[in-house]
Amino acid sequence: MPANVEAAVEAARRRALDERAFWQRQYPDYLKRYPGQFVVVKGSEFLAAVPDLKALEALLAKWGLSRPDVMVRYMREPLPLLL
Amino acid sequence: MIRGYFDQTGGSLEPKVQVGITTPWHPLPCFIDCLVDTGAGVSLLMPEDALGLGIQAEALWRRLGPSAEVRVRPVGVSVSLRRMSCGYHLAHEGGAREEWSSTILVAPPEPEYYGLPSILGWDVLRRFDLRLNAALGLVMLDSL
Repeated sequence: MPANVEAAVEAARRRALDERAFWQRQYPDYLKRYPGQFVVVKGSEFLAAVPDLKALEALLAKWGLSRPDVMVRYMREPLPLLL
Repeated sequence: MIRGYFDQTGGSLEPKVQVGITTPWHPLPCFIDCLVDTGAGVSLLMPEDALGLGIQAEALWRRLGPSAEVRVRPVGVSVSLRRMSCGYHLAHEGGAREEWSSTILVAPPEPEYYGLPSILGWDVLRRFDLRLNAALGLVMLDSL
């Protein structure tokens, strides 16, 4: 793998780890405020909360944003999973 | 060794590991935290995580089309998913990476899938010696 691609992959991996750490800190607070919604955050700044995927994608397209420019997480009611 | 973690933000203990997913149209991996599901025969990408693949969830579902349809049977029901070619990237501690091409199932962009973690099933897990220890908080995948 070329060095520049290797660096980009590593940067993407680290960004994902930072995103995990962010949600582990902030998820309980956002869940209280926006249950059942997708929360959009850029850096550590709250941008929006929207109810469904279609609205989320429309909003991101309108703002010219995509992942990984922004972090997106659905605020799921904390129930045990049975998949 | 690939080290994961137990996530408790969803209301229960969920063993997860970071996985990079590539597609033919998005060759740089999108890294997501997948649930290690020893009850799943196949791996599954949820719509929220598909957002990182450079294509909108509904457009992805349409692009895959009915010819990619796969029936699976979760507990008590039968659902229709779609199969997508992809690459998997998993990073070992120390920096080495495992990469291979395979497929992943894609969930439809419907509300019942919102907020659920993407799943790593036995199609991927079979490549590793998997160790889970909730008491110690260990999720470890060693190459076979």
